[in-house]
Amino acid sequence: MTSYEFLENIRTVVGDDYVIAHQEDLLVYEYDGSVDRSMPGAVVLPADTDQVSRVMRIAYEAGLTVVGRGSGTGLSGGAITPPEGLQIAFPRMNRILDVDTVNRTALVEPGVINLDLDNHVRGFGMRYAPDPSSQRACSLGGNIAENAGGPHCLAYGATTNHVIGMEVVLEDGEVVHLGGLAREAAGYDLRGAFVGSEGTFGITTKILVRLLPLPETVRTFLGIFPDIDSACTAVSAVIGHGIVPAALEMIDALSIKAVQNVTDAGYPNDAGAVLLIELEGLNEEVDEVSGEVEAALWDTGAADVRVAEDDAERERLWVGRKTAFGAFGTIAPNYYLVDGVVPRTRLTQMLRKVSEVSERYGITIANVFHAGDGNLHPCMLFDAREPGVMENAMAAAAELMEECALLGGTLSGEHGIGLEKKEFMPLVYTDADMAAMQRVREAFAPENRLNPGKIFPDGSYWRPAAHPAALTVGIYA
Amino acid sequence: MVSAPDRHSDAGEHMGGGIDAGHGFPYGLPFEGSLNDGPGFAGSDAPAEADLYRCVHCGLCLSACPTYVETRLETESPRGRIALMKAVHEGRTGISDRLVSHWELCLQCRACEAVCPSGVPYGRLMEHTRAQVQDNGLQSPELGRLSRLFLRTALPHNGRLRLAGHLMRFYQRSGLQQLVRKSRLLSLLPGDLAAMEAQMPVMGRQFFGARGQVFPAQGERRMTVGLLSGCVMPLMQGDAMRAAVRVLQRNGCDVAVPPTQGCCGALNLHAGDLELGRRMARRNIDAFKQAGVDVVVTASAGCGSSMKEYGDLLHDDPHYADAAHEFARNTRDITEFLAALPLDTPRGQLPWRVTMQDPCHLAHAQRITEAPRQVLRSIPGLDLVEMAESSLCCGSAGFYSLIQRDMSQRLQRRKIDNAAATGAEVIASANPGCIGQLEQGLRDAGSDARVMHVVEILDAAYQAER
Amino acid sequence: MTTTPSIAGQLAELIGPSAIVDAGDLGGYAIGQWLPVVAAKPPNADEVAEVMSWAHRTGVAVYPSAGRTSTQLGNAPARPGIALDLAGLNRLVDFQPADLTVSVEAGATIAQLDEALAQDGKHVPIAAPIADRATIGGTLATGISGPLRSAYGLPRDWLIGISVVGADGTQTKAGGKVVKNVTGYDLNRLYTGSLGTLAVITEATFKLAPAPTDWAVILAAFDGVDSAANAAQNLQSQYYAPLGLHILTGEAAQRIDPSMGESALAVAVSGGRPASMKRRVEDTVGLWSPVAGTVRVARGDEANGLIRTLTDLPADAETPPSMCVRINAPPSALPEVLAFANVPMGNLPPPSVVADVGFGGGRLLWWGDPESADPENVATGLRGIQSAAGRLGGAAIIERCPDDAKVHFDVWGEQPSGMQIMRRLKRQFDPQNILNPGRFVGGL
Repeated sequence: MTSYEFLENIRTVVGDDYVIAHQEDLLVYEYDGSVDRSMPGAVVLPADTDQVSRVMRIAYEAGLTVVGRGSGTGLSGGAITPPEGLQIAFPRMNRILDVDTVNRTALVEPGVINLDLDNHVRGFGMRYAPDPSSQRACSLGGNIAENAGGPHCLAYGATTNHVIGMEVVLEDGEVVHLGGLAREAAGYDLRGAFVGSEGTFGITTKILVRLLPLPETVRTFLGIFPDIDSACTAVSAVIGHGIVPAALEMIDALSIKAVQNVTDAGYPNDAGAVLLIELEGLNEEVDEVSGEVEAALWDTGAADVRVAEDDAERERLWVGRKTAFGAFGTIAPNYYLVDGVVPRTRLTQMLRKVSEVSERYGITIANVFHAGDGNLHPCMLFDAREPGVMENAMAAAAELMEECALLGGTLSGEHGIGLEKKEFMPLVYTDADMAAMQRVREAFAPENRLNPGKIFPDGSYWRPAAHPAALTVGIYA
Repeated sequence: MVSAPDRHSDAGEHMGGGIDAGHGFPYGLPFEGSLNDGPGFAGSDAPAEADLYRCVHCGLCLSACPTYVETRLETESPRGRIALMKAVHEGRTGISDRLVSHWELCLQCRACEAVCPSGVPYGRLMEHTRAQVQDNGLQSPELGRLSRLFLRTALPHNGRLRLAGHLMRFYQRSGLQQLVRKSRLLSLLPGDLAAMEAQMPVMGRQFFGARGQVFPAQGERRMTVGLLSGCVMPLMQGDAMRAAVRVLQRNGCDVAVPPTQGCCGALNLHAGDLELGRRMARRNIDAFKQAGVDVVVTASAGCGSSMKEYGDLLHDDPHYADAAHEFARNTRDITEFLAALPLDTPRGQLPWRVTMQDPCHLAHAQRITEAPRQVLRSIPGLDLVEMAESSLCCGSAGFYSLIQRDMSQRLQRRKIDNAAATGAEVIASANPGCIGQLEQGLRDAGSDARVMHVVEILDAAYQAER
Repeated sequence: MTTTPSIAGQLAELIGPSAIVDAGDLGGYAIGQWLPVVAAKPPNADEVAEVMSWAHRTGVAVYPSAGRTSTQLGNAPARPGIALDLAGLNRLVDFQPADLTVSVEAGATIAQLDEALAQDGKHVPIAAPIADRATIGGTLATGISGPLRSAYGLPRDWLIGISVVGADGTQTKAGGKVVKNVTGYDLNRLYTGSLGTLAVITEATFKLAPAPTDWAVILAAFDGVDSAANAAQNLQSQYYAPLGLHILTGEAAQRIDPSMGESALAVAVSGGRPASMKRRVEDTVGLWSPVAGTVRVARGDEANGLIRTLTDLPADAETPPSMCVRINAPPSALPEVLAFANVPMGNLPPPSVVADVGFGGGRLLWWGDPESADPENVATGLRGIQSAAGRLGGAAIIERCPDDAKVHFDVWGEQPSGMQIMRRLKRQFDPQNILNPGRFVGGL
């Protein structure tokens, strides 16, 4: 097969309009939500499993590398495709195939948008719990690849807790089914291993997700604190009280300022930090826990505690949280954010480190993050057009990741390792640990054709090749 | 372009092995075309770097974009179009027909702008990009022809427009149109001309003219408002204009319609003709200044959106910068204006089921969605039902429907289907382009439903009091 | 293979004679009729690694165990080998109540962990029969779950970090000590439920939940499985749906509540805080009373006892069932799962059914003497159940049956989709096939 024949062959499968091979068009498939950039050799947009399988088979025979792409919102470079590679993108496979109210499941294609699924199933009195801040744009297929999180993962777990079955195309085009309607099956939990494998094991073509019934009551609190230390203490107090809220988010003073620049989310401008806390459940349960949450907030030095009066007010509080990263544009043109996790009791210590690093490197750092599960998002704000500032930010990021590891935490809570963090893997895993992981990849993709060069350190340096003014990592977290 | 740290200067490459391809064709895949060395962006009207790099390619805009939703192609998304602008800005590629085709498929509905968390001024970026395209003579032939024929020759001149309008009305009402359509004459026309005939706006029975009238307020006089009569709206939707005047009068406004005003320039600006647009803006600023009005009201969302941006447009103009800002500050969409008043609630019953279609330039560009609904809800007996995707573009988008017929019709059908699903007998809108597009869509679908401007519905409610 | 004394000798030299189990006690490590040649009981992970390195060098098969409450699970061992007893690794390594995490060695028992966590009002909601013997490592390796699985999920959902010794003696870990982690592949889930065929689990880290302060078990007798199923499904769709909801028939029902007669028994287990518990119990009773024969509420110690009995049904210490089949099926297959209660199998009477309403599937249980049945006949019946379960979109795993029946079929049922990946996994992790050979699906 010549390379021209290759393109002709995949055109025969998906149709002329859905193979993109002109460089001027490929310009728009060279990025995702991260800093990384690389123009793929070609992009193909299949319409169904059969097309995916046939395209994969042809690529396999041609010896090509294949990289999957959902909506291109990822923050670790997972969808970045090397110039020699074929990118297989899923926006056309966006059908919700079935909603099963008895088993509380939905069967969807990988290009379905997270929020579209949630909105759809709410019509049936259910919901899809994982809610990454990019949920308006990100796809379920991408969510599986990254094992995406979100604020409500505190109570309900990340994507892996909600995906019960998958149809997957392997590197050679073979279609296999992992997991299924019955929640347990004999054999290894291939489904569990697959979720979060960052596109290196296979390409998902159908997804069976678990849905949760809607809660009877939702109550949202805004805890207002004079400084970030007392807000951290409050987080520990709430969790230590034996309360695991549905969501527990922290927004620091700088982020409050940024948010309020863009939209009135109802955060007080003079607060040192606010906590956004959501409780869900039976009326009686929420009533009972509410009192304890409020007490814990007051006890730890809250200046004020407010409760959202209605859906509109709750929505407003959440809009502030979910648009925070975009709002940083009002403070500086660029930002770079770290996705480290520490044990919850180390939050205060970690945030002190953040502020110390901020001072030492002379970089402004804002903090908006999932405090309830210790998943930080220190966000460096800068103007990349100043010489050397990007190197400075990267060095600061490295130091923060090291500190997370030192405090017993890890590199990434929900964004994935991808290209961006792969060289930091030795901070948390030994060579033997990583060798064991590589064995799983060998089993799924013996030829290593799927998204190679990601996750594991290989000494090569993938250059964040974006225009300097564009060095900004995503707006979600 | 700014000086870049070394490691970022070599865009798109990786070093030290990077991703191990290890497989595949020795020379990679065969690109079917390369980045071109055509003209880049230049001059003071080029898209601004600060605007371009506010886009952090997060993708939140994708699902709001009508052309992306229809095609599922990143090239037809706001994020993709900005990426193409960035590539030109960075000098990686020049402007080419291919790039232009992606930019021209944009409806400029600005739905993306409304959902962008980074506040990217997409509308401004696209106008400036199209200006660069026009400066380099790289518009598509369709847009070029239309631009010469209409945007430059007719729109700025009310007299020529009226003449054309009279001819069209004669053509449509004399039976000539039916005759021509029955004959095979149309098939002799080049494709796009025949299509233009098909989409020719239906002229109103009676035109509305700006002759310097001042219509007096009823009851206690609150203020004097200037009403934009604009270009095509008085011709196509004279009834809506008259309803607007009556509704304003009823709510205590003297309504001035200055004679020297003209087209707001929106269509020229959208097409990238910034200079002509600026001339038209200056004319309107002068006209309303002379009329001494408190606020300028328009019943056309597209015009209002442009007029509110006169400040930006003329910010470099030493003579007009201040006046333009003041003009922009004092401009109101008529639904916005009415909702902010203590509106004189109609007492007449209007037992209609109505669904609101949000004009892009009202909902996205001006972020006004509640005001028209508030006006409609004030009408006794009226049942306001929401349609799905109420703020997704109907495909009209100025002259878009003439140039991008296929996409325009796809979006039109989508809109009509969504409206029909509500069972509404009236589709309310607030923009002449949308009204025309929806009327045609309803005709094509053989529907009995009607399209009315929000003020026409309010006017009908006032009439029903008698 | 070398002779027995020399194996014991070699191991004694490596990990010390005190870590070698007396030959007289080997019977305790029987898997059916199979006996190990030696049983090693190393006191820590380093010594486990020594044993595995040795096995890697010599090619001797290793059969890990600890509480030995689930040795019935799986096919017969493929060849002779040693037992690797992990009960010596029983320390609570690191309990951080404020972080809601705990690290514990694999040989610690469920009861031991429960007790430690309860001091601080926390729990890891995993459960296995015979909690005072069943270990953390065994629970993870078998992937076994308790009656509250529909609300709390499976053991894999609580595991956030794991340490293992590989087939070549290399010690590795995956995950970590934080509750949210996407750093590297999720090997936690791969090891969970792999029946010790990929690596030997030595330590686990779990996330914790606040333990309910109040428990109730609501029992309702129905005149038949259909009315029980309707009532149960109705309860499952309420806001106050319980943590676990089961329908029991026959002997299983009798064991939970002998006073309820021969009818179908619905059992709802609720837990929570006092204020919500009042509502949960009252509303459940209110919902069921009009449709059930009798409704009874057990609280406090009685409730806890009933939950233990329910957990232990598949394998209690004194009078375990002679046969136990786990049906994996979606919740919508509830009527079909209950219908197994009416199907006789070979010479055996119809089984007693425990159907899990919220989670789907359930168990078929037989008490009484299986020896009287012809092994081939038993195997034919069990195979029939396996194909019937397959038709429900699930599978049947034979958790317990006479050893001589096992030679006639695979207790794990049909080979699952992705079997070729599983085989490659096994080859990658254990190329010499020394870990628990022969016992898992399709001989993995």
